[in-house]
Amino acid sequence: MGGLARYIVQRIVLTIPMVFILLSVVFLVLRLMPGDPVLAMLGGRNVSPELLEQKRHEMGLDKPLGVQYVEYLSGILHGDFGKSSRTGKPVLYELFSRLPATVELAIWGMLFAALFGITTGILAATRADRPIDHTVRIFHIGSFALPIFWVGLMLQVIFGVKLGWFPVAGRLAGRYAFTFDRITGFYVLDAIIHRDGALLLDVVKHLVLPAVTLGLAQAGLLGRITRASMLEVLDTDYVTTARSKGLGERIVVLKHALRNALIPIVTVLGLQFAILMGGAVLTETVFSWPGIAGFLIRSLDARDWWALQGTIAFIGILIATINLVVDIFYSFIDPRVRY
Amino acid sequence: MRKLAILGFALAFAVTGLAASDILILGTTDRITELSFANSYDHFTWHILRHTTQGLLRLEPGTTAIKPGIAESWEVSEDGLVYTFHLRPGVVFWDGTPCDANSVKWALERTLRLNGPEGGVGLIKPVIKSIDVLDDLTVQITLNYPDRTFLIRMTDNVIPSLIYTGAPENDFAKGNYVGLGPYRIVEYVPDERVVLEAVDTYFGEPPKTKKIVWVMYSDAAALRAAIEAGDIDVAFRTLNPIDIMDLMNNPNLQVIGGPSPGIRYLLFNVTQPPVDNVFVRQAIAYAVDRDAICQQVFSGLNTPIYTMVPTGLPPAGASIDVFPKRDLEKARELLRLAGYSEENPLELNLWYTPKHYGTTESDVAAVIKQAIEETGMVKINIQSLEWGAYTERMSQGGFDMFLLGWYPDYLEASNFLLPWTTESPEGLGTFFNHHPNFEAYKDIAEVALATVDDERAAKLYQAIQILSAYDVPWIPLWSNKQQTYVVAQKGVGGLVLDLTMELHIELLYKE
Repeated sequence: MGGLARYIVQRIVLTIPMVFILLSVVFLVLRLMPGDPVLAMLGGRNVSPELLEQKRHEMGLDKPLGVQYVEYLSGILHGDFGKSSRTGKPVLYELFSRLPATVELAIWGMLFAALFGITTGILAATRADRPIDHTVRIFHIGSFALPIFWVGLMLQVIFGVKLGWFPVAGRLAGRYAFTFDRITGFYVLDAIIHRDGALLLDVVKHLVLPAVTLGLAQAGLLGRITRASMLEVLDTDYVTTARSKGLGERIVVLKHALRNALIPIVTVLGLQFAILMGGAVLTETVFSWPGIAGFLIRSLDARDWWALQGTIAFIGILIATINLVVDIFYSFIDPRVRY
Repeated sequence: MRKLAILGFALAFAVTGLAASDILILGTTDRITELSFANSYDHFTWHILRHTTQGLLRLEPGTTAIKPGIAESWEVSEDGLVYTFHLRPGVVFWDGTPCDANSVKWALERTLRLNGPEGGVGLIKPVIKSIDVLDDLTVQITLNYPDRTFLIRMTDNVIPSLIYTGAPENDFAKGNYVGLGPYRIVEYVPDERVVLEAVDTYFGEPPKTKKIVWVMYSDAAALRAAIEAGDIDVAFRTLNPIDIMDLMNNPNLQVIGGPSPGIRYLLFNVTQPPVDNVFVRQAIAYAVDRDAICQQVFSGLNTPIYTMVPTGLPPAGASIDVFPKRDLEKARELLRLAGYSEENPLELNLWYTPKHYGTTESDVAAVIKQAIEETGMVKINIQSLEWGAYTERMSQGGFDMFLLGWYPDYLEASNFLLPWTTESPEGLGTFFNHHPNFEAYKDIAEVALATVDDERAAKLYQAIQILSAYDVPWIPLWSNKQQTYVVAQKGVGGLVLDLTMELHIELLYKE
């Protein structure tokens, strides 16, 4: 087996126990939480003890804990994440119907973060210790120090309510509901497929505030890393050589320095996906973005065990998989990684 | 060329979309749980089901009067056990299938048979003995016992009574059904929107607006922002009290509050010391300060109540104010009778749940504590539990004094009196079935439910309320009007609010 193949297999093997531990912790924590999930769902109403028992039986809560655990793990292995007791539909169905919204927001958030963070990072590095550098650095620190929900609310009030430039929430204006067909669930793509400029504009306008909110904190961090990485690279011999050869500053910075400085930036971008999911919970809430995070919160409020268990497990597996892919990808772009 | 392309793109973007005169965009923080007649029990799901199909009877918007639905007339036997419904001729489902007596029997029997654990089938199941088809347009329903609330339970206000076709025989509908209401569902995207379109085959008055889009918002703040920004035409359920007060000053919006059947109250586990002592419960009833709660916590949006039965609920005259106004001296007197004094104060827990009833609950608890402690003879220990643990402890008898809320299952006074006293006193935490007067309440309830005479029933319900003011298993606190508020853009008409807490979307229009 070649070095790269061995490395990939090793990483996959290491991911399996991590996911197993995660699933076990989710299962145990939910059962350690105070309160009976059946009473939480049906309590406060005029329900008979028979009905409560029926529901307990239906949810499998009358079985011994060990049996419940084995059934839970076996279900996940077979792609069965349970059925939401709130909606009556399989958890996986609920997640996949919301996943495009979350992924679309994450992609645009990440794009904004990368574009804004890297640009301002380069700006600060090329003008190190000048007023513009200090301003950008303060902005970087501020952007990840400010709470996401506060940033979201402020953007919502200023650009949505006061100025009316962008819609305050959701993914699509209600007036398009009768003409818009949800084809892929990725609304930008769907709007392009529809070949409708006004629709595309509406979808993009809905994306702006949540994507900026989500991306801003990441942009600050990326900006700082870009600045540090660029400063290091700009100080190297080959950059001095490039300059002494008479190359223009733009070519030196963008072609020679940035390409090498990008390696740590790409790593951070991948690793930030987990943080992005955490940020998505808050962003989706503020902007009523109909993604996985909103489903998770509603499941928590309703004490919908299966949905909670399934969603956390799904997100965990998703993040583990993305990290695995990033690690493997990283091994391709940075030859210094040892297999 | 490049500039031309950019210009073309910008022009395409400048088109702002369709003229939307026949569309209304409504916003809510509610969600659909499961579009099943036999397995759902929440406001918004029931709203959608109610507007997409109909029952034998319906409640007239703006009143609580029972009106013909699919049935154009009905008769009740002398003994109150047999109800004969005569169906309207020519009623069809969306797909053109005629709605006859067999359809009614099939739908009702299917709902009764499936009886999902998360549904409200229990509201009609115990009372119905059999459903028989007499001819194509006549259905006869025989009851197990006479029940004066039966007709109300057969209205579109109680979803398990609705008539539909096309649903799976042995599984919950989950949105798979063919209705006969004014609207049909065109699209439902979870947590995002529900799109409704008027149906040409509807037998009643055609809806004022053909296309309705419900947009779902994550919380009250987002809903407020959306109505303020003009993204939606109407915001309904649920804005924060402070937001409603603010929006009242917005010249572009109209803010309308409806009557509310939702109530909030204190409950006592009558078997649990020290509140097993009736003097203690009576003293608390004198000490609570409803005005302070309504003003300080709800900015005056909610109003104090002095009985559990909301005003205006049938039968006429059933609701009477029986609980006393605040009187600290009287409260002290009762506490002394119970053996307490300034030197030997009563120690009592006050339980609440922090999120289930909104974000104001801890403030409510603090105001109640302060009001009761003003007697100088009580020390209140505020305790809270998340809803899951709260309901568990409540049904196990683990609370002495606790806060709860109620929205009616059906619009009749009995639904505000019997659940805690005779129907489910343990599940709802009062354990009133261990109280010496339990049998008396039960007997009165039985007679009241069996009578068809509204006046007599009202008097019997009054008797239960008067008794309750002495026994104090509960202390009614305030009418929860907050959830009845509708905020709409100027130009939106047809906003008819009533005790159903329903937004009658078929009446809405935009000028």
